[in-house]
Amino acid sequence: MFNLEKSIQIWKRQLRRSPAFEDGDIAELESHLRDEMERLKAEGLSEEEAFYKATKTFGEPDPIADEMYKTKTTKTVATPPWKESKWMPAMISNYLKVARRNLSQNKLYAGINISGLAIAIVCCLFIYLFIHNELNYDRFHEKEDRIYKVTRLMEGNDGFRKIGITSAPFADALKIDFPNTIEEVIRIMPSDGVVTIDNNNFTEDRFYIADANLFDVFSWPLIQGNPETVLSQPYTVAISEETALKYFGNEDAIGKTIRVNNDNEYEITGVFKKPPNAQSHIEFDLVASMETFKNAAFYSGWWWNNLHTYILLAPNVQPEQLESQLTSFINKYFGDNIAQNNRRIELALLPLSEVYFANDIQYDSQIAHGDKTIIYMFGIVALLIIIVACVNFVNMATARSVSRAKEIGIRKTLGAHRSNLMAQFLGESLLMSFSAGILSFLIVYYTTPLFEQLTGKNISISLFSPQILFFSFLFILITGLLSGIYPALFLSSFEPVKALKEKINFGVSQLFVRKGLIVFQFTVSSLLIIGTLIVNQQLNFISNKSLGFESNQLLNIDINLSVSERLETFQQSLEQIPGVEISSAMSGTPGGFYDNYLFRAGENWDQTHTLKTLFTDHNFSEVMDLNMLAGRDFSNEYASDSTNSVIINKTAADMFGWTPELAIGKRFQNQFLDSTARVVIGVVEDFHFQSLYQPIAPLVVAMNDDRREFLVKVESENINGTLTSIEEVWNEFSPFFPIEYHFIDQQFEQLYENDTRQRSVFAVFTFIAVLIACMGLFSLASFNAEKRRKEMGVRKILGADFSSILILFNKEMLMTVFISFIIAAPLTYFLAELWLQNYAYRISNSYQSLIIAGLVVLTLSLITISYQSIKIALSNPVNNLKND
Amino acid sequence: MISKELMAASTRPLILTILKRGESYGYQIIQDVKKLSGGTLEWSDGMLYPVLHKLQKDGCIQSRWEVSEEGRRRKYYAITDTGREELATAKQQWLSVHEVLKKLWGPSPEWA
Repeated sequence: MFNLEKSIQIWKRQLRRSPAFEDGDIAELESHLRDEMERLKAEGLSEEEAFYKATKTFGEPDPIADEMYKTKTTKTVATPPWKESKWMPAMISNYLKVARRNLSQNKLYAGINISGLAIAIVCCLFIYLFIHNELNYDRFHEKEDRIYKVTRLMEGNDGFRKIGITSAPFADALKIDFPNTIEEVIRIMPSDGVVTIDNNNFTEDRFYIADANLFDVFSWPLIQGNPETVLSQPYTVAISEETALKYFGNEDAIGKTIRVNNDNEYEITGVFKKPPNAQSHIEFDLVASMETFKNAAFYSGWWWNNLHTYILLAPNVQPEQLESQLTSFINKYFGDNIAQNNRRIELALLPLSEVYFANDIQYDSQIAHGDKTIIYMFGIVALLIIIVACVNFVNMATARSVSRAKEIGIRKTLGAHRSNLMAQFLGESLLMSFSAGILSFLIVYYTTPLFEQLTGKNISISLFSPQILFFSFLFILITGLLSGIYPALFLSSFEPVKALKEKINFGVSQLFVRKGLIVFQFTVSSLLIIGTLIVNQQLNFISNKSLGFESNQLLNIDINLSVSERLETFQQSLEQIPGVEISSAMSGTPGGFYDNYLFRAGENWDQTHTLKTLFTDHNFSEVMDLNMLAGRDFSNEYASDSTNSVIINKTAADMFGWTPELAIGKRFQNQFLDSTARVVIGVVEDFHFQSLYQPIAPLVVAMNDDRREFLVKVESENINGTLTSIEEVWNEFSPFFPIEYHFIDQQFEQLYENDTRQRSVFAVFTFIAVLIACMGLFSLASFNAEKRRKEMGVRKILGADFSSILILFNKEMLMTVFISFIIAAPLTYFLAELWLQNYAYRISNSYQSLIIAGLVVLTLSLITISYQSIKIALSNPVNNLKND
Repeated sequence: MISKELMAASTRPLILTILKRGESYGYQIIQDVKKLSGGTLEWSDGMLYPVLHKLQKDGCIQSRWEVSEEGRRRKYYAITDTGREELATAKQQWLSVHEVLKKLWGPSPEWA
C-alpha cells in the first residue's frame, strides 16, 4: 500500500545525505514537490503516480546538490569536500600530518624501519653496481659482436685443455687461408718495460705490443694520431692519455721519442683514451707496434706461444662457418706434430663478450677474469637481504597496527572508504621507502671507495647515471608497494566498531604469518652465518695446510736477461750474502708458472704423456727442504745429471704404477727438448707447487738452462738487511732494471685472493642480513611486550618472579628462531658441499660450524629479545595495570 | 530542446524577468517558464533552486517564508534594485545578440 508521507520522508532523507542541503532548502523543495503533485492529481493521476512523476521531473538530487554547494562557497573552482578530487585526494594533507606524527611519535620504530630498509637498499645498489660493472666488460667495443679470441685446445692425458695464448704465425696464416671470412686478425702481446725520459725511469707493467689495426678492431678512441698509420711502422708506440700526462705534462706527446729498456728509441705516434664506463679484459698503458719485432725469434716460431690472437669476422659471417674449417687449418700447419705425438690440437673461437668470464682457460693469467658464480651469488644475496628488510617492514607495520586501530576506526566512521585507507597506508610505506632510498643514495655516494677496496673492482658507472636512477626509483617504488601492500590490506579490513572497541582479533592466521616471516628471516640469517663460517674454515684450512715444503723465508726473484747471462756468478754472489742460506734457479717457483711438456716414459714407449716440468739446478730440493723417497738428489759429483737424469715426484711414480724404489732407473724423454731418454735417479716427496684448488700433478724435474726465477732461502733474522744486500748484488748485475721479488707465502696468498675477497664481502653481507633480521626481531619483541603488558602485570601481582616471566617471554620467540635454524642447517650443508667441491684439498663438511652458527643465531636473538623481556620483567606491575 | 549552455546563460534573466512582474515562489516560477515557452524550455525542476539561491546570495533577489491558505510553507522571492540593474544589463546584451542574429538570418540571408 502506497504511503505518501512515508515516501516523502524517504525522498527527503535522500536529499539529506548531501551536506549541501540545509533544512530550509529541503523544506522549500518539499513544498515544491507537494505543489507539483497537487497539479498532477488535479490532472487525474493517482497519489502514487503523482509522487513518482513529480520526483522524476524534480530530477536527480546529486547534480542539484553540487550546484547548491557552489552557491554556498566562495571558491571559484568548487569541488564539494565530500567528493573525490580528480588529481589529489582531499585528505592528503591530513595523511601527511598523520604519517609525520606517527613517525615522530615512534622514533624507534621509524628509525629501525627506515634504516633497515636503507641498509638493504645500499647493499642492493652496490651489488647492482658490481654486477653491472662485471657484465659490461668489453661491451664498449663497437665491433664486439664480430670479435673472437682464438684459443687452442690441446689434447692432454684425459681430454682437451683450453689454452688462451697462441703464437705469432697464427695471425698471418689465418688471414691468408680465410680471406673471405676473416676481415682482420690482431695480435696483442702483454709485456712490460722500463721507459726512460730525460734520465727519469718509469717501470711500466702494462707495456703491450700489438698489431697496427688495434685501434681499428677495438674501440679505444685515438685522441691524437692517425688511426690508419699509428702502429704501422717499427719502433712506434701509442700511449694512454694518463701516461702522456705523466711523461710530458701538458706538452704535446706526438712525435716525441721514449727510450725503452735502455735499448731502442720509440716514436710516439698516437695517444689513446680509456673511455669512461669502459672495462676491458685487456688493459694497457703503452702499446708498441708488432712490426718492431718482425725479426725477433718468437715472431716466426709456431710453438712460441706468448700472445693473444683475435679475429674480426667479416660482416654476416657466422663463427661456425669458420670453426668448421679450423681442423683442416691445424692439420695443414701442425699435421706432422700431431702424427708424431698422437695428440690432437684444435682451435676454438671465443666470443669477445665471453673472454672475461672464461675461467677454464689456462695460461691466460695476464688478462682480467670475472666469475659468473659470484655474480649469481651476489644477486641472490641482494635478493635475500631486500626480502628480509621488506619482511621487517611488513611485520612492524602489522604489529604497529594495534595502536592505529582507533585511528582506522575513526576514519571509517567518518566515511573513509577502504580504498582511502589503503592509499593512506601505501602512501606511508612509500614515504618510508623513499626516505630510505634517499638515505641509501647518500650512503652509497660516500662509501663507494670502501666497496671498491673490498671487492678489488673499479666501479666505472656513475651512481647518478640515468639507468641507475631509473632502476633505483623503480626498485624503491616496488619495495615500498610490496612492503606496504600487506599492511594496507590488513589494516583497511578492520571493522570500525571492533577497531574502536579495541576488539580486533589478531587471530591465529595473523600470528602465523608473522612467525612465518620471522622464520624466513632467520633461515636466511642462519644460512649466511653458516656459509661464512664454512668459507672461513676452508680458507683457514688452506692457508694453514702444509704445502709439503718449507715455504717460510723463501724469496722469489724474477730473472731478467742481464742476470740470466751471468747466472752462475750471480748465484755465487748471492750466496755470499750472510743472510742467504741457499739459492736455486728454476723454471717456475711454487704457486707460479709450470710448463707442460709431452713425454714418452716407462715401459710403454709408444704412449705419450703430458707432464708438468720443473727445470732447475742441483739445489732445488735443498732450498725447499724436500726429502727423497728413493734414489738420490742431483749432485755435482755426477756430471751427467744435467743431461741424463730426471727426478719425478711421488704422484708421477703413482701414475705409472711404480713404487718409489721401482721408479728408479725408468726412462723419460721430453719430446720437445731431449734427443735421448733420461733416467730417473730419484723420487721426491709430493709438494704443492700449484694452488690447493688442484690436486698435486705428476712432475718431472730435470736440470736444464731454461730457468727464469731464483728461489732464495733467507735467514729469519735481519730480513730487511738481507733484502738490501740482495738488491745491491742485483744492481751490480742489472743496474738498469730494478729487482722484482716476493715471498712464496705471498705468492700463494695471491692465488686465493679472489676467495679471500669473497670471504670479506660475504662476511659484510652476512653481518648486514643478521643485523636487519635482529632489528625486525627487536621491534617484534617490543610489540609483544606492549601487547602483553597487562598480562605480565597480573602475573607479577599473582606472584610470578623475574625469571619465570623472562622464560615465558623468551620461550616463544626463541622457538621460532630455532625452527628457522632447523630449516637452514641442511640447506647450507648442501650448498657448502657444492662450494667445497672447488677445492682439491678441503675441510670435511663439519657439523661443528653448524653448531657454532646455531649458537650464534640463538645468542643474538636471545640478546635482542631479552632487552624487551627484561624491561617488562623488571617493570612495576602497577604501571602496567594502570589504564592509559 | 535548448542546449545546456544556453539554458545556463538564460536562466538568470528569465527568473529576474518573471520576478520583476511580482513576488513568486519556486514552483510558480517554473510553471510560468513552462507556460511561456510552450514546453521548449525544460529543466529538471530541482535545478531551479540552486539558481535562486545564487541570485539571492548575489543580492539580486530576496526571500521570505509565508504560509499559504492550505497551510503549506512557501518561500517567496522578490527582485531587488540590484536585480533590476542586472536584468537591465542582461536585457541589453541579449537584445544586441538578438539584433545581430536577426540581421544575419534576416530577409537577405547573405550569411546564412
